[in-house]
Amino acid sequence: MTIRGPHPVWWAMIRVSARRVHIYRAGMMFWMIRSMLELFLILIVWSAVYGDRESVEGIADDTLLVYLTISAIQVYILPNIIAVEVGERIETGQVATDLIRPFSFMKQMIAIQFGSSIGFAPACVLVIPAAMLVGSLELPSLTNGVAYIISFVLAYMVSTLTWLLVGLGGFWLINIGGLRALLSVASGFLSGALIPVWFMPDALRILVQLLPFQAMTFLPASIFSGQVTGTAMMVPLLVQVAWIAILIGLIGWVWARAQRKLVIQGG
Amino acid sequence: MIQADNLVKTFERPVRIDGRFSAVRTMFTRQRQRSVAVDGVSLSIAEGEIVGYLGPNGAGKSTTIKMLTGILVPTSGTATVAGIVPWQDRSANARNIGLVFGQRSQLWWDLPLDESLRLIGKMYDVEPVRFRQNRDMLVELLQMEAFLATPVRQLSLGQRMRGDLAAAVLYEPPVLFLDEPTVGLDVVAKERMRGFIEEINRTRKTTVLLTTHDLDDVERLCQRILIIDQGRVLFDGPTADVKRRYAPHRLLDITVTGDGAAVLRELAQSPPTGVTTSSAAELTASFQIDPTVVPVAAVIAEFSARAPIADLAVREPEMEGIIREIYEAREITR
Amino acid sequence: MRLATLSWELVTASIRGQMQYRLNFLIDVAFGLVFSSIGFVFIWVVLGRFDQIGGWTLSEVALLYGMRLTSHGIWTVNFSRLFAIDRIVRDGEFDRMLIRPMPMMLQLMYGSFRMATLGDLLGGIILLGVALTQVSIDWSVGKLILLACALVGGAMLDGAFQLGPAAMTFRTLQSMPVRGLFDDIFGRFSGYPTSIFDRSARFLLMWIVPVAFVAWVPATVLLDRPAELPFPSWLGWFSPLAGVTCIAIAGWLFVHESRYYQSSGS
Repeated sequence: MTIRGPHPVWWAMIRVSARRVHIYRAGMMFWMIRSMLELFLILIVWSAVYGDRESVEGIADDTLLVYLTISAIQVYILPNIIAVEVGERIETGQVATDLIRPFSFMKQMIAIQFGSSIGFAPACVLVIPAAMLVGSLELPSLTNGVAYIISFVLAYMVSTLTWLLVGLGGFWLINIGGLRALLSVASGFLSGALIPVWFMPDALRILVQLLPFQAMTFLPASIFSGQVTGTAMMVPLLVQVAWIAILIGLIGWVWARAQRKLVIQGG
Repeated sequence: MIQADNLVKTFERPVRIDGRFSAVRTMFTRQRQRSVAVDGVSLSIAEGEIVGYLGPNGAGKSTTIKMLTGILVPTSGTATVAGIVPWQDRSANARNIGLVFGQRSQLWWDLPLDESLRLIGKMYDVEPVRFRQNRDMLVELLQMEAFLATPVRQLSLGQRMRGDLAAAVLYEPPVLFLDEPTVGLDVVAKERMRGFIEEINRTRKTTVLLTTHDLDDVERLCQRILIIDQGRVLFDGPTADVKRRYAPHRLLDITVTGDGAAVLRELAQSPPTGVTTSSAAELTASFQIDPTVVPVAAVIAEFSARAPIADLAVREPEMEGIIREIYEAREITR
Repeated sequence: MRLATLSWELVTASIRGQMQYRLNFLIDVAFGLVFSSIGFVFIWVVLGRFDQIGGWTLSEVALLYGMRLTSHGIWTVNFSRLFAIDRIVRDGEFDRMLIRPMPMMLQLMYGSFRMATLGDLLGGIILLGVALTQVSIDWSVGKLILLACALVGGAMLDGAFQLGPAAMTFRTLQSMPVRGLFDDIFGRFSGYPTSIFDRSARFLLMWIVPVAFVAWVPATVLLDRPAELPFPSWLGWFSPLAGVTCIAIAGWLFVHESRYYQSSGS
């Protein structure tokens, strides 16, 4: 993959993708209500199991609440539309024509994902006060705040790359709708949004750490909530960077095999 | 058999609100827009009649049919089909009517045709022996043997229409509503369908209300036609009357031998009274004769005397043209 | 009786039609199973670490959740066609139901069948079955009847908040968002003891959107924990009536609104 400066078409694609978002506007509102209901429930459940205790295994109750709230916001904001786009293009065969274009398929897909995020930005901004109403959101310290912003950007990249990889599964699975839905639901769980990794049983924790989902939610949220501070914050950031590297490698490998498959099938 | 009295159907649709959150706001708006689809339609169809129901798109045909089949409740007016008010007693009415929609099938999409027929038989409580008799008779009459086991979604349009028709008459309803049953079919299939409708009407005295744009259907099957436009009945009477009332003229096509060209041109340029020229070429011409002014025979006699006729033909005006003129006349009087 | 046979015929016909797509068939059932159980996996893991929630142990919560999932399954299996009501009304497919000599409601219930609903029901039965072996209940004939009635009553309650909103489709051609919302609320909250919520939430969940009556109220009676109920315990025995009342209202509303069907698909 050669690295060039942003092609002008890139910005155009982002703009188009951002505009298309209005189709989903009504759906976004209901999606927000559901996210908030879920947040409400898990906050109640965790408060109930904590009971009168102020801290369990070194996790304070208010830290946990902040963790859960910021996780919910992240899950809402991070898009997986790239999986849908890639999957669709493979299913319809459009990917063959996309490959001929003088513009990297990967860049196109990423542009679409960006555009979609920009388009949804107003809705995303709305979710923050909503989450504050339902849950509790304490601003982190300055150092944690800065580290969090970095971590969030990394999380966005991990998310985009992961769902891109899922989308590429379409080359072997034809219809990835089911896979995507399954992973979408599972990712809520495996990302640590419902249960922080600290409280997971050993077997589950190992599984979760072998998957990139926790790099999207748990790692940044652990920084925001203040559970991880100081130099220890380097650990989650490095894990995220590692995941980005792994995913890029995986995508490169999968993409090469996919292109070979396309050629064999007569494109 | 079918009786309708001043049926009126007004549709109220929420006015679409544009702008932000249009979907949600439209869902909760109070503003309504009204459209009158059927504006006082009365009709009376006796047992055993085949009546054609004509009108331009949006005239109110489908809406009338939907009221007579019980799908819609009229805003005002009454109707009875085989003595039952359709929208009040849907189940009972359902047993009395057979329905074929040209655009949509009533059959089970993923199942073989004979499965659909079997389910219909069960649903309408057709006694097993009678069911087998009817089904076998219909299979033979409509030549469906070859595709009885094929899933309906794999059937061609013509095959599916035959299936729908069989399903509609399987339980021997006294009334049949056919909505554009020949649309999209090839000539052979159309003729087969018309033949079938005629046969059913003859043997079972089934009353048929046939909605169609195809005037060959009308000429072939309907003793009576109803023309509707803008929700009102424009014409209700025997098919022959349509021609007599709206297009009483006759068309005369003449071909002359080579040396008659000059005479033909003369005739074409100044035809006798009661005759107008429709078209003229070097050796052929068409004329329109008003029989109330001059008898056709007299015109033929005069033309034969003056020009060396090689060939001539007398035609009745085509339904197509007549109907179009009726619609257009309505346009002007609006 | 005739109607029962007819309904059965319609359902089996629908299933036979779908059997042709054999793989999708199994995937649908599997998905139904997975999606319905994910909610329980969450509380299972949490209680694995924390022993009890609001005084309820894992097996007791499993009983709640199992009752809820089974009720949900009973509803969805019998009304799987209702899911597509928006499309049915919008495309004019509803016409077909009005011209058949079979009650509209039965056609809506059994006219077509979604395999995923069997997954829902299966998941519920399995969880309920396991829970019943683990939990300690002082069984009596009355309690057995209560359990059976609660499962059906819960199904009716769940369904009332689907069928009721569906009635608006006749006028607005769209009820999916509202139905989805209620599905969410019931799905999320009815598997938990309502007592863990704070007062205002508890009020909402008992009297506004009465999810509490799906499983929690009858379960407190089964488990002999009447103190948690905000009303005299003997009323708990009548909790299935909540479902009966709600579904009756919803059914009436639906039939009443069907008069406004405009059959817009030509």
